[in-house]
Formats: sequence, structure tokens, C-alpha cells
Amino acid sequence: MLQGFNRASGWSCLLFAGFLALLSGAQPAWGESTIAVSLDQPDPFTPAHGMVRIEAVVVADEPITRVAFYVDSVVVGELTEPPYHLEIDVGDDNQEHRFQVVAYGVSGATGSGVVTTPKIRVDEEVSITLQQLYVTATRDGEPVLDLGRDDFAVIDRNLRQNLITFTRGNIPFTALVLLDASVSMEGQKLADALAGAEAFFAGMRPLDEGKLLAFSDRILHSTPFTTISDVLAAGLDRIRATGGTALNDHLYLALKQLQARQGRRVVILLSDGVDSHSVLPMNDVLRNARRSQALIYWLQLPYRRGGLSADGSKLPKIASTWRRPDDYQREFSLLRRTVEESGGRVQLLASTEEIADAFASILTELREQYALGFYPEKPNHDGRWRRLKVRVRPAGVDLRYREGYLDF
Amino acid sequence: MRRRNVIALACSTAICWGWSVAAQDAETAPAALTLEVVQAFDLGGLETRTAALMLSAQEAGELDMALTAIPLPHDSAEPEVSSVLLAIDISGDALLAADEAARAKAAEAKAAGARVAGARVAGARVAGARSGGASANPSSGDERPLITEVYAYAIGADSGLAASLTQAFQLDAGLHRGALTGGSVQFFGAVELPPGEYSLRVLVSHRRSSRIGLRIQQVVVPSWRAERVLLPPLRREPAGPGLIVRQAGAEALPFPIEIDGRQWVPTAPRSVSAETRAAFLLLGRGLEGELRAELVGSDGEVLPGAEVDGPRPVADGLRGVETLAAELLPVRLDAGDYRLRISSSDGLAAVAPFSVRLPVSSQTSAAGDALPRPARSKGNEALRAAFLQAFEFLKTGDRAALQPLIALEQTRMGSGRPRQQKQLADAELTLAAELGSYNVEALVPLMWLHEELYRYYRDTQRLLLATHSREVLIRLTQLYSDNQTSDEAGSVVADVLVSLAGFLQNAGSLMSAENAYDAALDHRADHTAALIGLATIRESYGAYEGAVEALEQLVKTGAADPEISLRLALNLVRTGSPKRATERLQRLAGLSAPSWVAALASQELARQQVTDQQPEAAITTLEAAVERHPQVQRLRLQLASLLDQQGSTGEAREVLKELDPQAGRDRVSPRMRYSQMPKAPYLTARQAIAEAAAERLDLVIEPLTPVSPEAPAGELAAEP
Repeated sequence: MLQGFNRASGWSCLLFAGFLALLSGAQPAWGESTIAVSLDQPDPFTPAHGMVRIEAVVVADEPITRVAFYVDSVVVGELTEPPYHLEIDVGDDNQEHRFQVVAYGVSGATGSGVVTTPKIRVDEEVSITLQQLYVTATRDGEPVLDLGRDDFAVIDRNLRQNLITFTRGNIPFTALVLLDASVSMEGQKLADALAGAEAFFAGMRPLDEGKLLAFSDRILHSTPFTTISDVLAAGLDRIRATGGTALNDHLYLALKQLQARQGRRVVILLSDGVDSHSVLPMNDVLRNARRSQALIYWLQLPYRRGGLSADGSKLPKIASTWRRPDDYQREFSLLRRTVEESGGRVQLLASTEEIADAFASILTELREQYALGFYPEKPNHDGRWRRLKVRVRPAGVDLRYREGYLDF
Repeated sequence: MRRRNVIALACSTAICWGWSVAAQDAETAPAALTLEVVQAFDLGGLETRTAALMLSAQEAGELDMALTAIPLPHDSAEPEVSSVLLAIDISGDALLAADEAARAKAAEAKAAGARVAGARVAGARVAGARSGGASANPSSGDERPLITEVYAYAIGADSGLAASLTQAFQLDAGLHRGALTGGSVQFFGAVELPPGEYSLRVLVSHRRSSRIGLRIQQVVVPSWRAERVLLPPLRREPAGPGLIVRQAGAEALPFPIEIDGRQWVPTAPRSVSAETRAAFLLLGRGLEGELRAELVGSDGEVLPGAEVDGPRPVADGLRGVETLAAELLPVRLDAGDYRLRISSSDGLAAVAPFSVRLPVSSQTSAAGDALPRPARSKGNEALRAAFLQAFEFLKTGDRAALQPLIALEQTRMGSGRPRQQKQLADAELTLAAELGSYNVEALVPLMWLHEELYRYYRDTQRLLLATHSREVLIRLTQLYSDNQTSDEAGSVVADVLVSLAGFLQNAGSLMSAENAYDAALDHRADHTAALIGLATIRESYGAYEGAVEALEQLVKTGAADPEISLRLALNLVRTGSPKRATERLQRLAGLSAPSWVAALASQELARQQVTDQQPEAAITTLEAAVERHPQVQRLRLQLASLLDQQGSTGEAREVLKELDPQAGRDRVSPRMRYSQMPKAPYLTARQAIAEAAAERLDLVIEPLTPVSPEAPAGELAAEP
């Protein structure tokens, strides 16, 4: 069972203990107790990328209180009872990965096991990328949580794909909250938005990472990626709404920053979606969104000047120094398409008072998603966008997922 | 009798109006006039400006004129209805002067148009060409006719329109110059009105110059069923040479009048020369008994030494009424307003004494005085006091000085019903017209003040009052420019309008701002701030061609700085002239200051290079710009994205690793800066109008200062 830490102090202790364990070379630390840890998975001779299963076997002569999992020295999970198995997305970069499992006994003794997976040698690098689909299943708007691997069929160019990985619920994520803090957000709107973001961060599990990027026509506030909600919340009260909106530019930045993170990547955009000052067209952002495979959620704030269509998809006729009305609508529609294609969703808010609930619903949805991993069977390596279909066996279940992948 | 000439004209509005003009010797009018219709055209109704003047109920304008209204029994079967005869005396000299001014202005406009030929902004009009179009020069054979419009509105006690008359007539300035010089045009018309009290407002407008004259007269239309009726005295002095214009279709009007066997043209005297005899007719019914005629001053006191001979009955007179004659004996009078008061000492006690204004021009006064000093309008004392205090703000910068005026306007605006809004506007325009008639330059501080009020009301979300202030301001600019045609005046009005436009643009009211900039260019075609404002607004609408026009004009006038050059370059790209734009952008990208212009020029140059299929050049441009402008985060974003597109994702990542989220946090991005209105030229205009107002402050302070300190402010003085 995963155990969460909501307080920074708790995480600090855990990190500190893990650090000591690493320094000690995973030997019995004190007393006569012996704790031995070995890793059955991953295979130390097989490059690791994408979703990786870590299987640890712990043998000890005293009760084990918890087992912590590290990837590349970053804690990625903790279990309190066997089996000590954990799935983690390590990303698609071709690099070495160090997997370490540390077991803690009631006496304070520890033991650990380490496996280092190699990177693929350049002369034998394979170009097949594990495709991870994060699928949200609902029936009549209610989540469907009891689907199994065989209930899903992933279709790529009319071929059913072999699911390599399948899991549901509590998959750690890295979420970047991209907050429009342009002058139109002045006052209570910004306060509501920041409160919603803060609540979201507070609701993250210990293995989830977060980052806040507040922008207008420039970056107004930026936190590091961190699991510590207090760090994420620090300094929010100093953000002041100002300037115009350069949404495209900063969504591009968010996607690029997420690309370097492991696991499930999520952007939560809070904005009316009306970009006035970006130098990048949304087409460039869409290309990067496809590459990053991040889920994008857009909490669409009402357009301050009104005139938005009832479903939020059509802007009133507006123009500015940088865009004509048609440009505005094109960029706006492309943003919506980028979001929907990513497997995320657009949630149109009637007011900023709904922000907190909207954040909470995203958090819930992320906890209930299914993760389907497969290797495309017939890659063309042409860099083109391949559309995917995911079917589910029980009738009446609606699925939302990333609509395709770039075939590199 | 000697017939000079005969000309008759017709015109039309929604209804076709016709009229006739007969030229004649004024002293002995012909028994019958030959009428001839020669032309018809659409009057087009009242302009906002003239309507505003009419509603202001304040006599004003440069056209010297006078009005007399005479209710007479109507011939119709309806005994209660009167035919109110209108005698409007318009100075021939004033009409000729207006015509000359219009020709000179047209000639000036033509010269100005030639100077800016090929560089005019779409929608902008060259100063001075508003009412014309084609150029004209007094010496270049400009033969356009002298068209004069006459509007008469009778406003009832309920503020409703009881009757109206809309006429125009056309003269040949060359042909009629002899009759007009030193003479007048006598316009005769009539409106039908039932018994009651009316405010008769007559506006005469010289079309081409837009010069106007406005006269207001209270008219009591009696019931002819009453046993005794006394009408206002009717002047019957010979009016000298002139022309008669008769309302079309009104051949039955009893003009000229035959009295004592002679025909007279009833005149509405513009003035009475001192030391001359002034003859009057007294009209009415049941006039038996003693009537007393007295000359009184504006304070209502009988003037010592002024004697009136009569009244005495005359043998014949106007049909349906008794006619008496009276004469003001020669008396030495200073120039000013006087009233001839007729009253009864016995049987006409029920008839209220009435008076008629009798402007007297001193023989020693300077020739060409257009208007006598107007009477101090009554009922506006609180407003005067508030304005007087408000101008302290201009002197001291203390905004608290505006508060009494703001409070007064708020009180008078009340809930903002249209009637309340109108009354407030009427009161303020009345005061403005009065101050302007002392010295038209007094309108400059007033314009400044109303613009300040407008800003205040907008800033404090008092939108009704803001609308009011803006409307008053626009009317004041029109009034000022109508009465002051110098180049300096044009600049002043342009500065006022630019100051207003800048505020509107800043507040996002772009259409209104564009209109105001356009209007400013009407007054000064090369106004830098107006051209910049217009360009930025057009750009924000996506009207790039119009923006290019304005910007190129700025470049030609030498007013272009790097920012203007950048704006021109970007709009040249948008209008399909990338080559010219690229050259500019390359120059600007290398500039050292201001850095935002150079950074943005680099961004846009790189975009253009990508469009031109030169991604490597774009990368070079951006790399150099990143080096030079490390605080501009989005140069890095643009570079990273471009590298991504070129497949250099690793390099892109490295570029972004260097992005400092703290850099540039406290300054707007170049693209945002570009979206903002350039403030400096607008602030210059604003400063200029403040200085112009300060220079003219005395012109408005002096007439606003109470004449009688003990008179309580705001008390409504009763009309005699």
C-alpha cells in the first residue's frame, strides 16, 4: 500500500534516510539484524525506457516497515507490505537508469538492492518507442474503474496492438500548472486561480511532482519541479496580474520543460485561451504537444469581454495589434484541438469560483486513469502523426485518450 | 420705387420647401413682388451642432441678426390660432463677411491639400475643407452661391416642438453685393400657433462658412377671443438698402405693411443708433385708454431722459388688429441692451407689461462689432461659481477645486433621465456661449476643463456624467472652431481632440478614439500624435493599409523615430511589401536603443526570414539577439522553437536551459510594449492644451466673477 507524505518535513526525513542508506552501501546499518534486498526486475542487461516494472524481494529477520523505490536517486514510490512491485515511467530518453530499493526494518536497520540498466549503444539503438496511452473511461459521466487489460484494444493503422503494460490508478504524474496571470486576471480571479492551484498541489500524492508557471506576456512566477507542496505554494501571494497574454509561447515552454521529466506528464492550463502577444503560432505548439505526449487540461475561464459561444469554442470578433479576428479564432480553435488531441480536456468555467472544483476533478481523474503501453507494430519512422483508436469491450463506456503519436 | 433685381429660389427637405427672394429699395416696398423659382436642393435637416445651439437657448453666433415675432389673427376658421409673423433681419455685411471667410478658408485648404498631396491619411480631411470639398479662392473665380439657411422652432411650455419652419435661400454674392453692403436681408415667414407661451428660436446659418446667428424670443400668443390684447411693439424704422426674402407659398403675409398710406417694411432691428428717432407700432385689441411707453435698461429701471412720443392711433394698419404708433425721441445712449416697455395705467392692467430687446449701437463704437455684449444669463449663478472654482485646478493643480462642479453636475444630472441630461447640457452650453461671446478664446479653458471632467468621470465609472462631459466638449470644439479659424486655433482644437482621443484609446474605446483623431486631423493635417494614434488604432483593427498611410505620412514629415519605423516595417510586411520591411528591420535590429525596438525588430526579422525559407539566417538573427538582449525571454523561446523545427531538439533544450525565469519579469515584453499606445506625442498634445488653457485663463475668470458679490449664487432671477 502506498503511503503518502503531505508535509515537507516527512519527505525530508525520508529523503534523508534514503540518502544515508545510499551512503552506507546498503549494508546493515546497526545492530545484528540482516535485511537483504534483491531486484528481480528490471533486467540489468536490458535498456529501460517507458513504463518499467520494479520487482524487489526482501528477506529480513525482523519486520519490514517500509520499502522505498528510487530511480536515478529520486524517490519514486514507497510500499509498506509485499509484494514490493512498482511500475514507473522512466521516459524515452536513451540513457542509463539506476533502480534502487531500500527496505527499512523496525529496528532501524536497512538493506537495499540496486540494478543499473544500460543505455542502448548507438550502433544498435532501436527506434521503437513505447507508446503510453492514459485513458479516462466513463459511463454517463461517471468513472468506470473495473476494466481489465483484455477489455481494451488499441488500434494503430487497423492493427490491434499488443499491450505491453497495463495499469490503473495512482500512477504518479508530473503536473505543470500554467497560470495566465495577465491583467485580465486582476483581483479575485487571480486569487481564486492561485487558491485552486495551491489546493491541487496539496492534493498531490507523495510521488507526484508539480510546478507552477505564472505568465502574462512574460514569466511572472516559476517554481522548480518538486513533490513538496509547500515549495510550490511559496511565493504565490507575491504574484500580481499584469501585462498581456502570450499563451502559445508559454505553453510551448511548459511542454518543453515537461519533456525532460519522467512518467506521466500533465499540463493544466488556466486561461481564457485568448492569445494576443505570442511570437509562436499554435501550430508550433501543437507539434511540440504531440512530441511531448503530455496530457493537457484547459480550465477555460470565461472571456472577459463576453461574446463567447455557449460551448466556449467560438470567440467573438476581436482584433489587436498582433492578430486579426480570423487569427484569433484560428489560434483559439487550434488550442482546443491541441488539448483534446492530447487526451486531456477543456472544461469551460462559468466563473473563477469554479476553479477549485475543476482542479479537484482533474486530480481525481488522474488517479483513475488507465495506462496502456504498446510498441507500434509497424513503425514507419517518418515522423508523421499516426492516429490511434482505443476500443473498450463493455458497451456504453466512453474513452478519452491521446489521439495519436508521432512516428519517429 | 426702383426695382433692383428679382431672384427667387426653392429648396426641399423631407418636405419640399420653397421660398422667394425679392430685391428692392427698402424704404418704399413694392405693392407686389415678382417671384421666380430658380433652384431646389435638399437641406438635409439640422446638424448636431446647430441643433445643440438651438437647444442651448442662448443667443450666439457671428451673423448679426435680429428677430421680431408678431402674433396676428389667423384667417382660418379656427379663431384661437394665430399666424405668428416672423421678421428676421440679417446683416448683409455679416453674410458677405461669412462668404469671404469661407472662400479664403477653401483657398487655404487647397494650398494645404497641395502640400500634403499624396500623403493624406484615408479618412482624414484636410483642415478647412469640411464644408467645401473643392478649393476656392476669392480671387480665383469661386462663383459658388451664397446659401443661407433659416431654422425657426417654436418650443411650447411643455418643452415640445409646437411649430417649425425650415427654409433656405440662395443669393449671388457678386450680383447682390451692392444691396447687401451696409444693408440687410429681411426674411419674412410665419408659423401657426395656438394661444400660449412659446420660446421662439431662430437660427440663421451661412452654409459654406457654417457661421451662424441664433436669436431667442419669448412669444405670448394671445387668445383673440379676449376683449383686450396688447402685442409687442413692432419696429417700423426704414431699414436702408437690402433684400426681401419671403417664405415660399406665403404670399398672403401682410408684408409690406401699409400705414398712413405708405408701405413699410416691418423690421426687426438689429440695433438702434443713438440720437435717432425710432418708430414703433403697437398692435392689439381694445387699446382704448392710456398706454405708456418707456425705455428701460437691462436692470428694468426707466432711463432718465429717454422720451417716447405717443402712442397714438393710426388711420389704417394691419388687418384684424388695432394699430397705434409711438416714437422714441432722440436720446444719447451708450451701447447696450434696452427694452421698450409698454404698459397700461388703467384698463389694460390685466395685460402684463412686456418688453422687447432694443440693442443700441453707439455711433462711436467700432465698426464691425458682430454682437453686443450679451446679457448675463440668469439662473446659472451656481454653475458660474462652480466653474470659477474649478479653474483653480488649472492654476494650482489641486483636484479638490473640481469637486463643487462635480457635485453640482451630479446633483443636476440626478438619475440621468434624458430631460435632466439635456437641461444640464443646455445650462453649460448656455454659459459657454455667453463666455465665448465675450471672447471666443475663453472657450479654450472651458474645453480643457470639460476634458478633465470627462477623464475624472470615466476613471470613477460615472458614465452618464462622462458622456455628458464628452458631448459638451465636442460641442465646444465645434463652437470654437466655427468662430476662430486661425492656424493656432486649429492646433488648439487638434490638441484637445488628440488629448481626448488618447484617453479613449487608452481606455479601449477605439472607434471613438479614431473619430476623435480623424477630427483632430481635420484641424491640423500633420498632427503627429493624431497620426500615430490613428496608425496604432488602425493596426489594432487589422486595417494595415490605413496604418501604413498614416505612418508614411509621419516619416515624410520627419516625425519618425525608431518606433515609428518599426511600426511601418511591420505593417509593410502585413500589406505585402516584405522587401522594404526587411531592410528597415535589419537596420532596427542593430540599434542600441531603445532595446525593445531592436529586440522586437530581431524577432520580426527572424519570422520574415523563416517565411522567406531562410531558417539558418533566422537562427543567426535570433542567436545574436539573445546575446544582445538576455532579458528578453521570448527570444529564447523563439530560437528554441526554430531549432526544434530544424530537428535540433537537443540544442533547443540547451537554449531553454539558459532561460532565466527571473529575467525581464518586471518589464513588459517588447511585443506587449508595441501593443501599447505611444504615450509621448499624446502627452505633448495634452501639455499643449493645458498651457493654452492657462494662457487664456483670465478670459474666462473675469466674466465668471460675480458682478454683485452680494447676489446669492444659484438664485434664479425673474425676467421682467
